[in-house]
Amino acid sequence: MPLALTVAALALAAGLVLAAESDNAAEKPYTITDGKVDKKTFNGWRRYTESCLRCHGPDGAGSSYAPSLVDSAKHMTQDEFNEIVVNGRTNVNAASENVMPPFGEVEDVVSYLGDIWAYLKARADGAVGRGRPPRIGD
Amino acid sequence: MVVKDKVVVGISGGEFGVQGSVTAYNLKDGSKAWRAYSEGPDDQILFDANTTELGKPVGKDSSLKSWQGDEWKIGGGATWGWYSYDPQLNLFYYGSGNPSTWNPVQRPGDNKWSMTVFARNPDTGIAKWVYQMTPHDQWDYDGVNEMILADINVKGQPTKALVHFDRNGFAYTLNRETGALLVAEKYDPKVNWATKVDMQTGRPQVVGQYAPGDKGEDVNYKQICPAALGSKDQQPAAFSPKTGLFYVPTNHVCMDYEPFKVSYTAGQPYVGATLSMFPPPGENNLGNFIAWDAGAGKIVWSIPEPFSVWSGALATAGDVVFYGTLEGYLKAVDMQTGKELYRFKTPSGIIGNINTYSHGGKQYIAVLSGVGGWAGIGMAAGLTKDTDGLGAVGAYKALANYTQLGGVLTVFGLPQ
Repeated sequence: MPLALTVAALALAAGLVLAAESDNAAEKPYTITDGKVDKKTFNGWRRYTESCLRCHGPDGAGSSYAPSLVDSAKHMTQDEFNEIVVNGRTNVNAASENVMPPFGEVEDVVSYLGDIWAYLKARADGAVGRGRPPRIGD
Repeated sequence: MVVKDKVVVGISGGEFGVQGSVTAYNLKDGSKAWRAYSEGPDDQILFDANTTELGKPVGKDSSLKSWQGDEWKIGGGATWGWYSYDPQLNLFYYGSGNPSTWNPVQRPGDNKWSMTVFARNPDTGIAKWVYQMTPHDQWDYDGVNEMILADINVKGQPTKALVHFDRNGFAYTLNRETGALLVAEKYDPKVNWATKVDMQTGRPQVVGQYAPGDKGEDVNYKQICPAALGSKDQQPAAFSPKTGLFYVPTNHVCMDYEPFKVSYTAGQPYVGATLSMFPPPGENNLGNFIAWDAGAGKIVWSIPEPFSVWSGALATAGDVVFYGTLEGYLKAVDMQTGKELYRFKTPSGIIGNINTYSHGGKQYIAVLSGVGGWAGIGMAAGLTKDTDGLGAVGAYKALANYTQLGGVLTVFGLPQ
């Protein structure tokens, strides 16, 4: 028991270190100065609000029929995010009936995938709170 | 609304780029009798050579000339409000909603006939007269609120009037036969987006500082009164033939409005603005219940309320007016003075309409409570941040301290 726990704890610690390293290595997709967000992240918020909120809830918080994107963005790459948004995803089984329609032809979404990702990543990292984020220059 | 052998019905979709329309179906078999669009060519909007605005023929292509290119095809002007009918004149009346998008920079022109009062013949759908209240809307001041048909004195003259409390904060009194504009005055003194309505042209005199889009998109236009939900939304006012006054549930809310560019995709939202809402600067009440003299264009009395009055009003022959509040109070006030006579706290906020009926010789007052709607969206949808719910959550944040969700019918029996 104690041995198994120790091994698990070590594995967990190693995982955390790896995660932290890869976080540092990857450039953050958003910029926040004195609690204010850059244009890109702000645009991500308003595009999210325009096109995604009705299913995924205010501020990426999720709803009874669509997952929290604040959580999803914690363990997803931007490429995976882009792929799902553009092509959609069907996840219907005994436990769930999630259908994400493809947004590949919705200009207000595909033109700003990077911005929406930046906003959600900022939410996932706890760098931006709920509601309209204050904008640099406001 | 059922008129003779037809049923007339409107559509929503002002935030999805619809081409707004009203349709009449034959009661007998449900077949379509006619459809009249809010914008487009004359044969789609059902205008003819006799269709007038303020007494003058509107002329050919009145709608097409007021849009750039094909924008009218996704131009909004939904017809989600109320319908009234005058059997003597054989005209029915309704208002059209906001032009699409909420970003005015994307749709130069007057955007006719969004934000318009229509008088149409129910047999043919042809428009007899129109009046556009808010040309080139920059605020989402939908013109869909109810058209109350009342025979009143206007500046001393007995008049077949149409009285309309618009979301833009002006109360309009028109001659419902001719469409002549008789009175257009603010029914909330805090209204600031326009100084007045020019009675010759019928156009509001817009104040640039409070006109989103005038300095381009991506600019936050601040402290505009009223907010997009209007000085009054769809909750209906009541008319008393006894006093000749209108009893009006109102909002006392202002907003910041930032338009931004959006693209149209069928079936997708087409909004293009972010909003925050709050009480007028220096004040903390979000609503008033007022008595209005539509002949003079003046407030007779006004009762401040902590939240918007989101219930319909009921005027009775017993000199009592009823309304409900978002905290859940049913209130009875003296019709002449506004003095409160009675209040009762129902289990949830009131956004329904107060009703009265009699049964077995006894009169009853009934009201549904159960908070929701735009004002109650924060509570109903579990939203918490100021700009959520198109900006309504911030203004009504304190509501949770006063009431809770629910759905209850409360019925009061009047003393014999």
